[in-house]
Amino acid sequence: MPAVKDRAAKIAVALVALVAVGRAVFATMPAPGKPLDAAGEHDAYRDIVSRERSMRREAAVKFPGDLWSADDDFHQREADAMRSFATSRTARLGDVIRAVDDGMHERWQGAGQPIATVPPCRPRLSY
Amino acid sequence: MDRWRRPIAIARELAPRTWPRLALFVTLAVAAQWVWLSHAGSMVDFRDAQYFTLFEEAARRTVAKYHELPLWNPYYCGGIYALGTPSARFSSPTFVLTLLFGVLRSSPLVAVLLTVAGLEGMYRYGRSRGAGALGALLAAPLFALCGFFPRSGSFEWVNFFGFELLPWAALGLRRAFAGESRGAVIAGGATGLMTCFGGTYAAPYTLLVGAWELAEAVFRFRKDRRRIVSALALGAVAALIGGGIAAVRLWPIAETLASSPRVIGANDANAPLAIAHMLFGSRIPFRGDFLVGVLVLPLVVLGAIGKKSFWPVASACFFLWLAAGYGSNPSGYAMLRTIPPYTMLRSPERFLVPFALAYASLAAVGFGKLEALARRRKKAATFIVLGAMTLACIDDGVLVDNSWAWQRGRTLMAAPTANVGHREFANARGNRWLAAYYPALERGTLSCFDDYPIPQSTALRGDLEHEEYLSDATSGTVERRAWSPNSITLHVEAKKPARVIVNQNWHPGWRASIGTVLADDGRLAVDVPEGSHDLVLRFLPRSALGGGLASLVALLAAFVLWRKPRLGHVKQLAIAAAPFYVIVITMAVVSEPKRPRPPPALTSGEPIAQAEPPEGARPIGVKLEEGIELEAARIEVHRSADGPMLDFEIDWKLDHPAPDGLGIFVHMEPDKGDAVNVDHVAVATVATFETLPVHMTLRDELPGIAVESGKTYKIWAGVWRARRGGARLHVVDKGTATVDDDRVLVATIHAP
Repeated sequence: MPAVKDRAAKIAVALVALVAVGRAVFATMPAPGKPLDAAGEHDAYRDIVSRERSMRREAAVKFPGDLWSADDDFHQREADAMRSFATSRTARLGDVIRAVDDGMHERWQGAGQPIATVPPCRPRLSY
Repeated sequence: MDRWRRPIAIARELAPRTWPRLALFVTLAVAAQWVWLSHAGSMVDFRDAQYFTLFEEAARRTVAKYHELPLWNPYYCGGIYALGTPSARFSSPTFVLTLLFGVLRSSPLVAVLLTVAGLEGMYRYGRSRGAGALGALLAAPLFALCGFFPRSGSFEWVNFFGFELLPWAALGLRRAFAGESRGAVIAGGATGLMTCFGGTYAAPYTLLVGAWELAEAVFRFRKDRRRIVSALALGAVAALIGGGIAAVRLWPIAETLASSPRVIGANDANAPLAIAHMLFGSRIPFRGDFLVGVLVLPLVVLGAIGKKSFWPVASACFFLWLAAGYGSNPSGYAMLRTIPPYTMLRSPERFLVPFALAYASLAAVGFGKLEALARRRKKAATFIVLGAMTLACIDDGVLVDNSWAWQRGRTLMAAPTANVGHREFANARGNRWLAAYYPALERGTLSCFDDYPIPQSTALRGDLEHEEYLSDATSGTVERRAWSPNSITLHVEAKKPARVIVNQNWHPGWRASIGTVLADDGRLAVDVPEGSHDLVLRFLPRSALGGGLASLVALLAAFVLWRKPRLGHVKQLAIAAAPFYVIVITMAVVSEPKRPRPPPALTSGEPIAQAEPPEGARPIGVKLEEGIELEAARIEVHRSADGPMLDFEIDWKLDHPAPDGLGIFVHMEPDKGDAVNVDHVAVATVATFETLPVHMTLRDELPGIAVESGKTYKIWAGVWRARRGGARLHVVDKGTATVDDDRVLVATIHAP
């Protein structure tokens, strides 16, 4: 009788594990959005890069004297800008990110010159 | 009466049986992670999730796409040593799930797996502490489902699930100290595994839990010297096996942190009421960052009564004390933070995880005591036990509900996707707030974060036409022939001796088929002779080779020790130490340059430590405690295209070596609006006081501070114990300067 109970328990373990794997594999994800076309990519690049200077200034005021923190704060603002652009066009966020990168590598004409370097990571004491 | 006794009888029969118990634990673990499982594949919209996901995805791509071991991660910060990244989890068996299902779909499965491990480990640990099977079964979720785990999962801090192995480590040590050599293997295996799983906190905390177990064993065997020696020997075996298994990570991480020490953690303090809220919640439905549940508290109190419970009660109090951080006086946490590796830890509330271990074991013991008491009052016995079971089950339900609440509280976003076809790898300026998106684009993100100062070249660019080029373009040409994370093949036509620059960080583990590898402004570079060359760069650091071999040998040693439990302690120690012979041999045979610490230099390249203050600096001459002098200041305002800027410098001098943990505070108080703080722990944000020489002018230069036009600022400065309680250093001689509350007025400026 105990052996039967053990066998039943083993089957239960296998079944529950299978349910977990099945749930993880077939879980639905938020829709990624539509692909951006070439014109949309250039719009994205212009939109994000044109705001870079003001965003950097605001970040520098927020983190005076701390080059990495100011740059990091700029990147947070830039990330927000990329998300809001993707949302406004119901576009894939990955495509907006790629557009900014392609624009920098291919020197697309935009409303400003993005800075292509970053200061090395110097984390603050606490967050 | 029988129908009331029946559930108790069934539970008592099934609890000690492994498979029925595991069936219950697996069901409970899946139930606890159900919401997470239901959203598997989605990205958590939280900053840390970005880089934790990137670490795992970079490793997955390296194995799945490039068929290489994940040694170098080119997708982050311009390239980092993947094995030397403290919180990366890919070097554990759970990586198989990542390879099978992808990073985001495997995360909740990893959580389920480790939760089951935590439940079973806690059950066994509870039993080893004298609890009955039913009590240990009911108490196991108090630890394995405690609020810390769903909270960590909700931030994608999956590596914190390594804490689920803590009861196994404690159990193993307990058995080892009792003289059972297999216990040492269990403890070593658990500790090694949690380290490989990115257990930056779990492993050091396990040492503390182990110290308590050792103290208990030494006290228990105080009259039996032979058993004390045996306990110490098997403790050493456990440490050697644990360190050996983790060598593949410990060696690289030690190298990383030796060259880039982690300077983090301020003056974290938790008031008793805040700790109570974290553990028990404050209202129904119960929620808490470290929720263990209040309903079982009577069982815990019952379990705590009696001499036998002294050690778990003492360890629970110890970890509560540590969890208070700097909020207790004296502060155990402050003392602990003076001892490596605890100097590098923060968030003292995480000590509530080992507290949960003691809490659960006391609850398990308490349930057993209740059963014993109930036997004396036969009429009421059934209802007392049934009532306690019900309370424990409700508490377990509360913990599952808390898990769901954390999982539902996440904001989810679409998983990183890209339709890029074939694309050559290049570094992008990137964005660490969206870092997880870059590997799919076959891009590295230079913008990055981790909680240690990452060795990263400032010369890397995110807009290059080619990632490999000659420093002197007239000296020839370079063409990329093949690329993978650990190997770059280039064809070089050099009209004269030339320097090939690779737009990635240098690391001493890079080797070249021809020429000399070197760091060019922190970038990976090779000096090649004149001629036509096929240059192959490969990344295989000594610590990966030696650490990997040592880990394999440690696994073999663990297997041998498991199969031969009756070996003498000398032989056991000799076998357990085998991985370290491999490390010694590797160090002797394989040469590799040391990574130099970054020189303490200003952005201009000038040294921070100079003979005297720069020209134009105004003498101040205020003396502070610890032999520190605020020697001079130079603050200039100028207008830039973006508005007014300050070029700011204050100069310090040390009379004797500075103690650890100091920081510099600078308060800029405008005549209107909010004050701005320019606090920093390192002089010129580069080097801490304790690393700088005495009797030299230490130039704390912070160029380009943006200020608001039209405002007049008073600028105050001083020194505080930034990582040691937060008290300011007192001014002992103010000279002619204006001083207020141990801060010195260094300038008053008007921003045009």
